[in-house]
Amino acid sequence: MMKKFIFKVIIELLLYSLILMLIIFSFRMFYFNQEFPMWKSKSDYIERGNISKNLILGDSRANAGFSPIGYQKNYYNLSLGGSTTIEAYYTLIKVLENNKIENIILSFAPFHFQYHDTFLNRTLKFGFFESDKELFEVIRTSFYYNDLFFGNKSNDKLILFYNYFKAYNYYYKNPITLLPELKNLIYMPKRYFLNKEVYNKIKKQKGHYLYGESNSSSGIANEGGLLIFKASPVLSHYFYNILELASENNIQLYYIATPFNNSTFQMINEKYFESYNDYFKKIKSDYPAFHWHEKLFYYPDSCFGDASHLNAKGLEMFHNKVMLIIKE
Amino acid sequence: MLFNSLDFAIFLPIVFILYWFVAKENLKLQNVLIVVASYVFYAWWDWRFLSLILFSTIVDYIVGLKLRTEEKQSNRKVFLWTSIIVNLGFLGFFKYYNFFLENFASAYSLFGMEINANSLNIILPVGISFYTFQTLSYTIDVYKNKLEPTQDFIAFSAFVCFFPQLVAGPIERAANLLPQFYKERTFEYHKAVDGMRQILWGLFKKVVIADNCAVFANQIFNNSVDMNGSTLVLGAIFFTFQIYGDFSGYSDIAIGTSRLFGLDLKQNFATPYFSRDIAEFWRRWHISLSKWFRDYLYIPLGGSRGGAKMKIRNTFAIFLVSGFWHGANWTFIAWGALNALYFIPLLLSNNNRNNLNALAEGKTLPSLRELIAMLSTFLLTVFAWIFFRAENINHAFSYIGGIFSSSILSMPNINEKGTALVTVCLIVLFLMLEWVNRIHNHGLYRVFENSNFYRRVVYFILVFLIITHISSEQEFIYFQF
Repeated sequence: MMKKFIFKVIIELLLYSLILMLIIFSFRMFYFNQEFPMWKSKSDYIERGNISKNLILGDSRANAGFSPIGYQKNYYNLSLGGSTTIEAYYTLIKVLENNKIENIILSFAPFHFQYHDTFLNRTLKFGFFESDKELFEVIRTSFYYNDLFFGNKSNDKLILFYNYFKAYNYYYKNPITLLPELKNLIYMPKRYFLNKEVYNKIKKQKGHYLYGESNSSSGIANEGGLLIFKASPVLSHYFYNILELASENNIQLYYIATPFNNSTFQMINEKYFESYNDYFKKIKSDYPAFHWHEKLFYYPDSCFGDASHLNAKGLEMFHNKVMLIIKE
Repeated sequence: MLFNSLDFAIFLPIVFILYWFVAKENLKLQNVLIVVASYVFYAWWDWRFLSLILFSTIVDYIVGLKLRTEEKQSNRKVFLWTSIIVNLGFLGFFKYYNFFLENFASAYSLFGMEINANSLNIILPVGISFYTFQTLSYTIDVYKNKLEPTQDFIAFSAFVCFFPQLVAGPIERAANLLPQFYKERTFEYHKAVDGMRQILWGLFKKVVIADNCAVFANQIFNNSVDMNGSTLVLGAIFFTFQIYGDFSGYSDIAIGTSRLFGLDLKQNFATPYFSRDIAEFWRRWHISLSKWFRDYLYIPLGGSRGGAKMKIRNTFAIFLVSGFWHGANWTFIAWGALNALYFIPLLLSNNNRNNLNALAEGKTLPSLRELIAMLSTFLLTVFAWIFFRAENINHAFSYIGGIFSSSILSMPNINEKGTALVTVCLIVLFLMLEWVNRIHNHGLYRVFENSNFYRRVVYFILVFLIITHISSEQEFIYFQF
């Protein structure tokens, strides 16, 4: 009787886990937030093939700041919200498998050279990596540099291993890691339709997406609270990998920073700008072919839909600037 | 350790395996294991207060033995009072010291006398109100020769600290639980399976119903000044389900867990919100506490045997003490007093035992008369819960004042309306399952009995709801009592 009971409990638990895993893998558009369709639309674009020879790679600020419609050359914005040089590198690897690329515009928020705040919740949860080999490579790099780029900095090896373990849990979709999102299945019955709308919109706009839609924002972006720019060794490592890959494949690489809003810009101290510029000067000296086009600058608050992202007005201003750079 | 935590999810199977496989067929060892597991369970919260439980256990064990041999009535009384003073002394100090001090100081200041009252920073030991009453009932029953005192210290310790019901009840009587520790336990498959169902049901009530309602109840009660009348009504209703889901959920998990170990605890809640009058409500709500007060306070005071005056006095006594048992705050006393006021008209008109029969027996739905009786009783309890939840008496009155204003006709105004709507749907699902199982011990006792498939679908939905809501471990409200 006892064995029967334990057997039954285990079988029931396995059955429920199986159904749960089916839900997790089959209904992602139903429970993930709007970032998921954005990431998905871009990975689908790569999968479909016939990729544009000119790409934009970056994070959400690049996603909002570069609208390929209207560029002289045929560009496609493959920027991913919250991403860093890690995702840009692996995107480029995937693209180069079957395509020839001529130009790449690279653009990240300075903050995204320092810390990866969405590695677990987007990169791993959304299934960005095609295999665990890619994740292993990233983890190995992190271990090599002793740089926990996605967690609180610590020299404690135990903490390091705990975070790697956590990363694998996210990668393999341990249901516990997805509980906050799965709740959307109950409380947000319209989530699928909203996500589908975002997916179609981003597809139509060649990868571009406006985040905040306010007429003005005086909110403070992440950099506003940082005292010094110190790039994460892991994120730098992948930046150099991109540069290397571009050089090997004769790709013209342009780095164009997107603007801050005035409110954030005023809060960033001088040292931050200096260390940021020093970092890019060093890269430029290591890779003379690399086009570093803009130091950090700002637009009025009225050009921002939220603390970090340009609105339609800001996009228009920035668009003209980008057009000039591309023309050059 | 919380029932709704990962710690407990690991702890329970370990104790279960040790209990049935290692300590198998060895009663003494099984009881020792229960005591050790219970102490670990309690120490997870704060090991320092284990000494209180241990001291209480030793005192009552010795008092029990002394009462057995002592024949002189005056000496027996001394032993009884030793137990009462020790147990209520701890309870009084940890729970009520600051309350009395502050109220004495306030009372003196009314007469223009200022006294220096330094309140102490006292941590309330979890579950002290529950195990204190449990041990007290043992001593009183032994004193009254209703119960043979135990000579088995381990069995007595297991009775006092049995982990499923240690911190929030049900408050067990020695006559029910203690003999179970003397008998050899055999694993009963159907009992264990039903225990698992009851645990599932309890978790659903706590994690899904109570914790969800808590979000809105807290939002509304904490900002009641800015809320309109209809929102305040909604807040009180959310709290009504929060307190029920929270407390009865705990009891269900406790009873279900006990059944896994072959031990039966008494039912603590019997669908109280389907009661047709307040008397019935109190026969169905926190049954173990109501019966405790009935047997050890109400009846010794004379119960309902005397005239109207005595009946009123005794009713007020039981409800006021019951309110005060819940916490050292005037709000709980007011809540008790209000329930006494609801109850007295029924008692004086001899209508307090009208609804002893099962509700809508043999029928799918209640009659219109039953429905109206249920709804009016429900509204009375909702109103009383306002005092229970309010921060203080002024807050309760301002909350009630807010309800009875012209704004009661306006639309409720709360954040996250969509989530609130889904929560209401979950409450409806919960009530439906409770209704179907209103004559049984828990809401999953009978669900799609003829279809294995549909029953599993219901279980999966509940499991899914629980695991998606369990992300933040919320404490049980009754821990503070």
